Amino acid sequence: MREELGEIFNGIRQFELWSTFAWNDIKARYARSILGPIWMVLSMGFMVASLGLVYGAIFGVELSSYFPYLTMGFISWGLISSFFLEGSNIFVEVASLIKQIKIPLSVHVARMSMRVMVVFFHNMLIFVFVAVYFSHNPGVNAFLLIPALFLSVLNGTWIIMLLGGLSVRFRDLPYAIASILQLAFFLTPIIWQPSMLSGRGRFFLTDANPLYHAVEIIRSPMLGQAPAMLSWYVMGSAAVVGWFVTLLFLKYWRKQIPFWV
Amino acid sequence: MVHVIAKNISLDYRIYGNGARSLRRAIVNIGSAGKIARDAKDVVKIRALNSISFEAHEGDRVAIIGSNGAGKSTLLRVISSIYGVSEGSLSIDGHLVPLLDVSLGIQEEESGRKNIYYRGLMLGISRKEIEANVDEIIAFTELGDYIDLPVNTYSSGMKVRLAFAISTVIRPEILLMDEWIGAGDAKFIAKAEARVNGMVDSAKILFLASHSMALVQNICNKAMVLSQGEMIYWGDVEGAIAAYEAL
Repeated sequence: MREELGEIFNGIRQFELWSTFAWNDIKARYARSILGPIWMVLSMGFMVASLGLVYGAIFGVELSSYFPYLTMGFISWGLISSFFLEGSNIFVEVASLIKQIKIPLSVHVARMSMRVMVVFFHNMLIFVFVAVYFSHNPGVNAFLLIPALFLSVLNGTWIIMLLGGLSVRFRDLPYAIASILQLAFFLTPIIWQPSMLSGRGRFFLTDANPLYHAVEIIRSPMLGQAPAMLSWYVMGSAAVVGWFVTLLFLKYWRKQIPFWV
Repeated sequence: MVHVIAKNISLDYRIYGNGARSLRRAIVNIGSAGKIARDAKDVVKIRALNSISFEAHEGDRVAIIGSNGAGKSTLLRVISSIYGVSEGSLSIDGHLVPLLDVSLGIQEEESGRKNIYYRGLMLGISRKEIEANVDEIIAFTELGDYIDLPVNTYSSGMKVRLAFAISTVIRPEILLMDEWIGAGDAKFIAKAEARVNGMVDSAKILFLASHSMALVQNICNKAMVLSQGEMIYWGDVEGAIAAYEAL
């Protein structure tokens, strides 16, 4: 696996290349639109505002605590689902590059991750707005967002690499992932809160649901709480196991990817 | 020492039909132990290169000749490390740049100037180095103020000139070319010719896949003949042309 690791680090080192790519991706997407990336923020902002009002009323919860919860849940979900969705299309998107020149695959992965992170930070503006509006102060626990994002990227990158690689072989995978994610969105506590459930259902949808932990480590710090130890453990082990599986995949299938795309 | 040494390299790859690529077929295949879904195995295994050995050292100008489908482009991609070999070993020492597709990675939405940086970075040149060369490249393209407009506003001739200028600014130690590159209108062709010659001259090793025997005789001092993935000749250019014509 040394060769595979070598390729990965080789790609990460080419910071200029992937950051330029990522930045231009973002700019190209909004080329010649007047509001540009603000559209992204606006559309999520409207979604959060209307869902917050509707579900806040349905659940009969205090809006000043429900809105920060919902907003941060949405933003975290946006980040996590992008890792899956963008990941499953990544190598198809850059097929011509893969076939024409030797660039480490991790360059494409890093480019995609940076793109996803830039969108995340744009969306954080909505949270800032909500926090100010409801005078919500997360306090010092907010700093836990830094290790949480680090861990998220560590997990996100193997997801992109692995799903990207598998998707060029199995072209149905991106569709399957998209539909599973849609379902997972409703099963994961984002709109609703774990305290609204009880019994076994709660256990299966929260503690036994890795996506819950992925959301939780990002959401909790911004709500002023430290994420549960269990969430850190789950995300930490996911990173270790995930990267191990990804390296195994690369060991056996890396050579085939240029033929598959 | 700059070199490219190949020892018994072979390349196999599988071509998956539309069926074999789908997850459903793969699952059906597991479930039925490959019996029912025999069509799920519409996988064709191809041996694109078979046990090829050669050595190229400083000063070698290697021609790769052979008819269509002989494996010329595949071999160039193997030497570029785009495709990993299935068997054998390949040792490369030196900064290698493949010039297989001149318009590689051109971003249509971006300005010509941005594209110069893009391509440079992709070929492993740092931003600083590009900065130092950017004016020369722009002057060479003769695009003038168009360089700051998006590439999709260019005429096809202008696009070719831009791609060509970016691709030829690098001075690699090992240069790979799939057919001789040339570009543009009559006036530009002469300029382009001189530029490629300069690039080829400064390269320590050149691999050129070509159908033009006159070109090969002109430029190369070594040659290999490929036929259906096998190397049937390795040696001087005259001998190679004779071997190719005898096919």
